[in-house]
Amino acid sequence: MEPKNQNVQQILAPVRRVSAGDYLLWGVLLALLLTGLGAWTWQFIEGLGITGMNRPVYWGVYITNFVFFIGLAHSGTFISAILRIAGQSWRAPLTRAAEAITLFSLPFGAGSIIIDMGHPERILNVIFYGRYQSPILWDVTAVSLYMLSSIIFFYFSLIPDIAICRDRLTDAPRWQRRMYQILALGWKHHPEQYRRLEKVLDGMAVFMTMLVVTVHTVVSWLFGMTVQPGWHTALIGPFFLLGAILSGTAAVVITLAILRKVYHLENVLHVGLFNSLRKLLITFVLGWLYMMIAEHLTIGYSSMTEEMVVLNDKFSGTFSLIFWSMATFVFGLPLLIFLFKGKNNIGWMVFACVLINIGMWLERYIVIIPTEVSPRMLHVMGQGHYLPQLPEILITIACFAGLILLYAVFTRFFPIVPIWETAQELPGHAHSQPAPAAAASD
Amino acid sequence: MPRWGMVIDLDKCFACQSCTAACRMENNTPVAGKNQADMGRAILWNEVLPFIEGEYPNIHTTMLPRPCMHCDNPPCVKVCPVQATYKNEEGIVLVNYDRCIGCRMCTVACPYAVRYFNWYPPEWPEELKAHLNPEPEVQPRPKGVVEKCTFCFQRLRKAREEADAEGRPFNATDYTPACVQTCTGHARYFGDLDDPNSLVSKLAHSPRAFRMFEELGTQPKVYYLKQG
Amino acid sequence: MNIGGLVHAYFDNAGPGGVFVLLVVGVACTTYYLLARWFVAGGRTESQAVPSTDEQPVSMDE
Repeated sequence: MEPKNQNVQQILAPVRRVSAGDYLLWGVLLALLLTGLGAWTWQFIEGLGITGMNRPVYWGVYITNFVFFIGLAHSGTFISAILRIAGQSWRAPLTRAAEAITLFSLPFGAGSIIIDMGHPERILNVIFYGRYQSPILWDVTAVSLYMLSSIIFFYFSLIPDIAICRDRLTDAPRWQRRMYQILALGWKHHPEQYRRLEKVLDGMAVFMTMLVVTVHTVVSWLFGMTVQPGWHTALIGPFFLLGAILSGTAAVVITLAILRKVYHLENVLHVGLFNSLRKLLITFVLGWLYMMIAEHLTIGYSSMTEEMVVLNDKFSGTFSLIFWSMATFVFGLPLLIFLFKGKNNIGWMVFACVLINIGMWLERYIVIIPTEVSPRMLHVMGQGHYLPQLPEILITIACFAGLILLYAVFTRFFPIVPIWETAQELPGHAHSQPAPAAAASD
Repeated sequence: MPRWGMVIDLDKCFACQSCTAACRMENNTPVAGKNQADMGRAILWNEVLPFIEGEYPNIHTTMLPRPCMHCDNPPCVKVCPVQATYKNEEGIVLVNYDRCIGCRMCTVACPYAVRYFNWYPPEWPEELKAHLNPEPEVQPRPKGVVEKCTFCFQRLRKAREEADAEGRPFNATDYTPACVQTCTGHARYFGDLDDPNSLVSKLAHSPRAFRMFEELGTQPKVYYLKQG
Repeated sequence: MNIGGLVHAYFDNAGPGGVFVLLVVGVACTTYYLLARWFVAGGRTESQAVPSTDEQPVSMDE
């Protein structure tokens, strides 16, 4: 017996209804993605010289993207794993939308590292000659396990819904029915299946939570393990992690608002969800401010020579514009908006969350570049400089386009709101959900 | 087993750059050209860097020749994911160009900025191309890998081969990197730091001796003798 | 046995790191495969659940 969900028609409505508008959107995104691929080919043939990187700025926008996309990926795990453990049942309608961000931004995070390599064709050397003292190996372990686990976690919770698609979407094209058939693994909506699935998901949630903390900490250790000023701090791990969860949660708000509007899911993705996310975001923004102050006060107060060069460069030097924009975008404006405008107002929430994500990208940039520009040898080498060049810009755009493309295509083939998790009644046991009508709809 | 090290007397160095030039010819570092050099992409295994204190007219300049420090505790070796950079048993830090994946973690980790990346395939003007050093260790490096000063370790191999051919035991003084050999002011000394009677070892214990960024714990094997 | 030496050799040599990565991913794959089999097989030993017939498949293309 299928789970009873009064919104099933509404949730399934967007699936497979590919419109001309969709093809246009997919076409544009695909073109952008292919442009980026072209830029990468160009870079592969010519060498990394066509980028703006140099000595001492050996890492540029690609590594910024790596950190940013891995951070964005924390959205899904946070919403579905951490909130699952915490027993926050309001999260149910948005779990899949959030996890899909994780799933589709991870490839571009991991890919950015490969794009950044001078010899991407030697990537397997990391396995053949892997040397575990290097933080890169820690990254390879953590990110590959995280990628695998989020695919599996996502897929597991998708199986019952695939089965619903299999049973209901009978006039879909043959290949698509076949796809549902295979992916559903012969799911029968048996109560025992649901009981076990819930158990597996609960267990995996604990594991995913540990993994999510590990992954972003390890990412930060690429920087923290060196002795360079501005990077060599124990705070860099927690700071990266908090930033990741902040930008991830903000991305969820943006995605939900778009899905709600485009796919007419107003009843399912009700305003109450946005209000809950707003509370979380206020907490994270304040946490981010705390980390920011803790880090910069410690550095500034002790005024060690090399550290101060980097700090001054951020506060009042070359990077001051980026630094203060970041502070405004991540902290200043969003907090004001959340506190005074965000309640029951999706438009303002989305605006604040877009600001947060622009700010978080800038934050990744401002952590990485100023340290490289002012290395320890600064007093003899002189200040470095860095300006991203065309291939870097094209590839960055391509990464974002790719993420949106995968997401958009996915929503046309699978239900983006979990049907069984939001069901009023699951086979075997009642599955009480908070009434969607509780919150005011706009 | 010798532990190779270098001492540079800053009193004797007058920044003629002959070390830089000799290094280029010995090790086939490519010619970047003005545009690339302005972008900070010139590859100079040995550089002479000006360290300027004060402001005109009360100015004091120290010229600081900077080869690779060949640290005993090298931060670059620690972070290499594939052991493409490693410290050999005689303490020389080397790069395996066939294995390097070009991730540039080592370049970022090195506090002395001695590691260079090949942004483009190497190039030389025609006139120079005919005079590249034929030794196998210094064959031109492909694009996308990291390279750095090796203390001219091809010269170590040649010195050993010569000693063998002449049927005499190899002596630490047989091996001299190009920058040391060419130094106009005889400011550079090279030898076995573990031999208490060697000149480098004695100079390294001089009260004038210091190492760059000693507080980082990298334990460089290049010592400087303070000016003045 | 020199444990310290072993640990040092593990971290310092080219190769063991790659093996560890493969091991971690391999164990994870196996675990996930077994978990999937276990929960999909739920209820198979009891009487087979009858596929729902009370609701006709609905076309989404009307």
